[in-house]
Amino acid sequence: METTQQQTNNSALGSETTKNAGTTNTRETKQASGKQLVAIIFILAMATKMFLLPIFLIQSTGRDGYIILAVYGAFDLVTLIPMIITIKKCDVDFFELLSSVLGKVGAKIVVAIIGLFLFFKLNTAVAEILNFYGTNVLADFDTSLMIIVLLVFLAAAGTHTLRSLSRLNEIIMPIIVVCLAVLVAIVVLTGFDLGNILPAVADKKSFIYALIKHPAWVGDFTPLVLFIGRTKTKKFTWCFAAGSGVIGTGIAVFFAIALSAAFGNVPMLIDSTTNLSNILQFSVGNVYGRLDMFSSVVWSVSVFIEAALFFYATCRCVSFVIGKNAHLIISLCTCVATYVVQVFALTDPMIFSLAVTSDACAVITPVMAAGIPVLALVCALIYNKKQKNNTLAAGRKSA
Amino acid sequence: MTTRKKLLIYKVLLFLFAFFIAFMPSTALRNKEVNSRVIVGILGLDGGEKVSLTAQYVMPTEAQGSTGKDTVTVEGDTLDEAAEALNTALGRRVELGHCSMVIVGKDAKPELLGSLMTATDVTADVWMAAADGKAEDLIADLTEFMSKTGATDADFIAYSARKAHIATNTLLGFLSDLGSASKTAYMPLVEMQSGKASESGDSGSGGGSGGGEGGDSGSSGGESGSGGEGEQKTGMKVEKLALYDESGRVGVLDSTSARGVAWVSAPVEKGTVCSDVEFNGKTIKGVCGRLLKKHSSVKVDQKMGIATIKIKAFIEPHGDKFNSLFATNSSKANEALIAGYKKKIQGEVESAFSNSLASNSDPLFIGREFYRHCPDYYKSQYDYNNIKIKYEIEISLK
Amino acid sequence: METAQRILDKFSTPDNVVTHEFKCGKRSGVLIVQPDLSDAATARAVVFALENMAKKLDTLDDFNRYALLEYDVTISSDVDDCVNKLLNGDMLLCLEGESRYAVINARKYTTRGITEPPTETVMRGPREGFIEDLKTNLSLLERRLKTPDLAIERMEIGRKSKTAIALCYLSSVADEKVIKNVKKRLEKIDIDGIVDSHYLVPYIEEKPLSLFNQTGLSEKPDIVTAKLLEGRVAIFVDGSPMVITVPFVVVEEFQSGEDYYQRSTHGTFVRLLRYLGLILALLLPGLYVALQNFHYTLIPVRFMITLMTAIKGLPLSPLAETIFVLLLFEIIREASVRMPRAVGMAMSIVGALVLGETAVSAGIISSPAVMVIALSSIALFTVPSMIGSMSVLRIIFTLIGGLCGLFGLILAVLFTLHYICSLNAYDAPYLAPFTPLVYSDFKDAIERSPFPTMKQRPKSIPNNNPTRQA
Repeated sequence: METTQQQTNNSALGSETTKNAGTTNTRETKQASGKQLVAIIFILAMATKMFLLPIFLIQSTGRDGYIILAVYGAFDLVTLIPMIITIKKCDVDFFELLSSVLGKVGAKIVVAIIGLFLFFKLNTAVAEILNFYGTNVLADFDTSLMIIVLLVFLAAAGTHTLRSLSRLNEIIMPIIVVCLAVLVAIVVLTGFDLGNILPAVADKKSFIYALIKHPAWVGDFTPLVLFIGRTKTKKFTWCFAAGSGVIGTGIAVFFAIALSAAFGNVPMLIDSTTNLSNILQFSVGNVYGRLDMFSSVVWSVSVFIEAALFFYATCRCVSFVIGKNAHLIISLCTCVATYVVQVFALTDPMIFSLAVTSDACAVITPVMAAGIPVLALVCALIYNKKQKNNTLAAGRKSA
Repeated sequence: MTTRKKLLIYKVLLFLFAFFIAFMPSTALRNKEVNSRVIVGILGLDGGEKVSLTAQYVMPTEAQGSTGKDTVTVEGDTLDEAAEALNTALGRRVELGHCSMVIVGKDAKPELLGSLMTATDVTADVWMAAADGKAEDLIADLTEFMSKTGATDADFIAYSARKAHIATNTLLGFLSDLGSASKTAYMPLVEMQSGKASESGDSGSGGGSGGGEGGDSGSSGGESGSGGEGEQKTGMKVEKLALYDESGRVGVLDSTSARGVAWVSAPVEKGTVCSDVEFNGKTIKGVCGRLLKKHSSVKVDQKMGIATIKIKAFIEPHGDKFNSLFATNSSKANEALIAGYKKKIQGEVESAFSNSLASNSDPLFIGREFYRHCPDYYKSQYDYNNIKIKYEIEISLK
Repeated sequence: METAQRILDKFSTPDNVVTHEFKCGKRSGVLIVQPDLSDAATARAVVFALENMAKKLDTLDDFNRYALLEYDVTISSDVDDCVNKLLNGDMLLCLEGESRYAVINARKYTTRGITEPPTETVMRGPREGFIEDLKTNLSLLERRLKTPDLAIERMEIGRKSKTAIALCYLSSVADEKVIKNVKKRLEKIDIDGIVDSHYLVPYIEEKPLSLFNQTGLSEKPDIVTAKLLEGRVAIFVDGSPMVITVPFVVVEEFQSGEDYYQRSTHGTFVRLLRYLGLILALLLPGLYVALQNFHYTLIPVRFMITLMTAIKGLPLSPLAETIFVLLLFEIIREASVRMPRAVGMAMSIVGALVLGETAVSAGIISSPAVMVIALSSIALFTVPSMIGSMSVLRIIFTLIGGLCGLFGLILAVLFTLHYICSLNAYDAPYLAPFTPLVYSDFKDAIERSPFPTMKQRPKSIPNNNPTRQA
C-alpha cells in the first residue's frame, strides 16, 4: 500500500521553481505501489501486441503470425528482466540516476533520444487506436476530430502524476481482466480449428521478412523507467512483475493463435475490423456478437492506458531535457506534435505501414528496446557502487 | 505558472473544446441516426454477366413492434457497385451488419464472397446457404414463407447447425475452407418445398424445425393437406450440400453424402441417427437415436498414403423399436445397435467421399490434413484420387 | 457608568441591549443583557439576588464568590471578548469603579426539536439528527462517545458572525497531521461570516473547484460517531445541522447508516445496487445515444425495430432529444424541491405524467428516451449525496457519447477516473480501497462484512490506532 504520510505534490499545479529546473525537476515524491507496477506490466505486455499487430503479421506472413508475435513477446520479456532488477535495486529516479552517472549534459542527450523513441511508440499506439476505431467502431468518423478527444485524455495524463496513472490502471485492471475472460470464453466456446496454424513456417522467406520488418512493436516496457526509484517494492514484487509480463504476453499470443487459426488460409481477407475474438465477427443475431464487440471495445481501454503511459513518459523526458517543470505546457505541446504527426503524416494507413516497417525502424527499435533497460541497469549498478564507496569513505572518516 | 493563469488556460481550452464539439459533423447531420438505415436480414448473391444482389430487408410497420419484410434486387458490374446500388434502390443506407444469412446462387463465383466480407459490413460469421437456381428466387420464396410463419432471420439454418447434424458453414469458414489445401468448401443447399394450398394442414414452422424424429434430418415443414387450389411454399428443406472450388459450384451432394460430410467436417454435435439393425436374423429398420456428442478427426499416414477417419459418437437410442430390442437381450442388442450405427455412419462417409471424387472436390478435407502434417508429401506426391481411406468408428451408447 | 459605556459604545445601536441598574449595598452596578439571546428570568433573578444581598460585597470577586454562586461566571477585562460573549447570550455585570466584567452564562434561544433528518432517513436505526444549536449537537455526540479521548476544540470564525466552530476527534485514533492540517486551514479563514457548515467546505478541500465531494457531510450523530471512531475529524458549525468530516473517500458516498443496522448480506446487496445504480445513472443515457448514432451493430435487431418505430418522425436528433429529456427531468426535480408542499403533489402529476406522456404522444420525444432517462434518474437517487455532481457529469457523458460514440464515452470515463485518481485529501486516496488496493478495507467497501470480522480500522484513512476490536 502506498504510504499515506507523504507531502503534497505540487508539481502539477505549483509554479516551477528555479531550484528544480535542470536537475531532478521531474521528481515526484508520490510513489507507485508494487501492485500497481504489476498491473502496469500486464497492460504493457499485452495491449498493443494484441491490438493490430497480429493483423499486420498475418497479412505479411499468413498463419505464422503468432510465432513472430511470440518472438517479439519473448524479446520484450527478456528486456523486462533488467528493468525489474533496476526498479528493485535503485532508490533514485531514472533522471537523477542518469545525471549522476553520465553527467547533466550526457543525461540530457540520452533522455532526448529516449524521449524521441517514446514519442515514436506513442504515435504507433495512437495510430493503431485511430485505425481501429476509424474502421471498426466509428466508421466514417473524421480522424482529425477523433484524435482531439483522445488527446484531451492524454494531456490530462501528462499533466498529472505517475501516481494518478498507476491508480487509474489499477482500478481499470479488473474490468480489462473480465473483458479478456469474456473474449477468451467466446473464442473457446465457439471453437476454432487450431489445426489451421499448421504447417508452421511453411514459407520461410515471408516469415523472416515479417520478423525483421515489424519490430516497431517491441519496447513496450520502456516507460517502466519512470517507475525506477518511485515504486515501493516488497519481497516478491519482482516475481509477480515478471509473472504478469509472462501472462500478458501469453494472452497476446493466445489471441494471435486464434486469429491465425481463423485467417491462416485467407490472410488477404484480414483487416483492422477483425481482431481479438472478433475473429469470427459474430453476426449480431447471435448474442456473442454484441458481447464480443463490446468486450473488445472496453478492452481497448488498455491500449489507451498504454498510450497514456507513453505520452506521460515523453512529457517527462521533455521536461527533463528543457529543465522546466511546466507540465501543462509540455503536455499541450506534445499533444500538438502528436496531432500534427497523426493528421498530416500518418493519416494514410499506407504511410503508417511504411513508417513502421521501414528498415530504420527495424534497426532502431530493437536497439532502443534492449538498450534502455540495460542502460538503466548499468547506471543503477554504477550508482549503487558509488553510493557504497561514499558510505564506506564517510564511515572511515568518522571512525 | 500561477494557479490563476492555469485556471484561465483550462477555461480557454474548455471553451475551445466545447466550441469544436458543438460543430462536429454529427451534431449537424442526422444521417447517422438509426432511423436513416434499412436493416437487411438476408442477402442473396447471383453471378453471371453482372453481379446481382438481392436483399431481404425488414421495415417497422405502424403497429408497435411488428415488422414487414420485402425484397429488392439490384445489379452492378462489381460487388461494390451492386452494394452501392442497394443504397440507392432502398432510398436509405443499408445496414448489413445485422445480416444473418447469405444465399449464393448457382452462378455466383466464390471470389465475390471475399469482396462481400472485406468491402461491406457483412460480418464473417453470417450463415451461408446455397440456392438451387437463383438466390433471388429463393429469397422471394423465403420472404413469402417467413411472412406466413413469422420466422425471422436465419433461425432455420442456425437450428440445422446446432440440432440437426447438417453441415453448415459461415462466410469466413467457407472462404477459409476454400483457401485451404483442399481447395474445397461447402454450404447447405436450401430448397423450398411446394404443395397445394391446404385448408387446415399446418405447414410447419419455418424457423424452428430442422430435425424431426426419424428419417432424414434437415427438413422442416410438413406435407400440405389435401384440398385447396394452387401451389404454395409449405416449408424449407436443408438436406443437401453444394460443393465449391475456386471456379464456382462443382457439385451437389445428396442427403446421405451430406450427412457423411457432417460426420467428419462439421463441428455440429447434435442430431438424429437412424439405422437398420440386424438382430437375431431379422432386420429391424429405422432404429433411431439422438446424437449427444461426437469427436472426429482425420489422421494421415504419408508413408502408406492412407487417411484414417476416426469418429467417436455418443448416441442415445430411443423409440419403441429400440425398447423392444433392448427388452430381449440387452448386451447382444447393444452390439447389434453399435454395428448398425457403425455401418450407417461409415456408409454415409463413404458416400460423401465417393460422390465428391466425381466432382474432384474434397469436402472431408483430407488434402488439408496431409498439408498440415506432411507438407512435403503433399507438395510432391499427394493425389486425392489415389488416397486410401480407413475408418475407425467407435460408438458409445448412452 | 464608564465600564458599561465602554461596552455600549461598541454597538451601532445601543438599544440592541438592555441595561438593568442595581444597587448592592454601597456598590452600584449595571447588568447588560442581550434580550433576544439571554434568558430574561435569569437576568431578573440576578438583579433580585444582588439587590437583596445581605452580605457586604466590595469587589467583583466577592460578587462572584457570594452573590453569583449558582451561575456559571467568568471574569474578563477584555472588552471585545465581553462584547462577543454578550452577543452570544451571556450577561455582563459591570460594577462602578471596576474595570473588569463578570460574564454570566444566561444563553437561551429557541431551537427546533431533534427530529429525523430529511436527507438521511432510515427504516431501522437511530432517528436523531443534528440541529442548528452547537451545544445540543455536541451533547448528542458526547452521549455517544463517553470517553475522555474525545477532543473538542472550539474556535470562532467570521469577523461579523463570530460563528462558533467545534473541531472534534478522538485523540488516540485520529492522525495528528490531519488534525493539524484541518486546524491550519480553519485558522486561515478570514471571512465576514459563516452561515452554514458548507461555507467551510471550500477552505477545507484540497481542490475546491472539483465536481466531486472531498468532505463528508452528515446530519446524524450515529454516523458522525462512527466516522470519528474510524479516525476522522468532525467539524461542527453553530447554526448548521450538517457536520463536516474529513478525510473523505469515495466509498463513503455509497455507505448509509442503515447498512449497519440490518443484516450484512442485505447491506452488501444494497451497496452493490448503489454501485450499479451509479454506473447506470451515469452511462445509460450516453450509451443509448452512442448506440443509436454510431453502433447499430450492438443493438439487437428486435430492439432496433422498436427503436426505429419509436423515433419515426421525431423532430429532434437522438442526442438533442436525450439532452432535452435530461434537462426536463432536472427541471422537474429542481422544481419539486423548491415548490411549496401544498402544490407539490399537483405539480408532480403535471411534471411527471402530463409532460412526459403528452410529449411522447405529441411526437416531440420518444418513449425509449423517456424510459432510459427515467431509469437513469431513479438510479441516481440510490446515491443521494452525489446527485448534484453526477447530474452534471451525466449530461457531459451524454453529450460526448452522442458526438463521439463509444470511443468518446470511454475516453470521458477514463478522463474522469484519472481525475478522481489524482484526488488525495489529507493523505487519504480518494478512490481507496479500490486504488491503491487495500484488501482489508474491502470489508466495508463493496460488501458490508459482519462486525466481528471488522477488527481493524480502515487503512485508507490515516489513523494512530489501527485496532478496532481484539
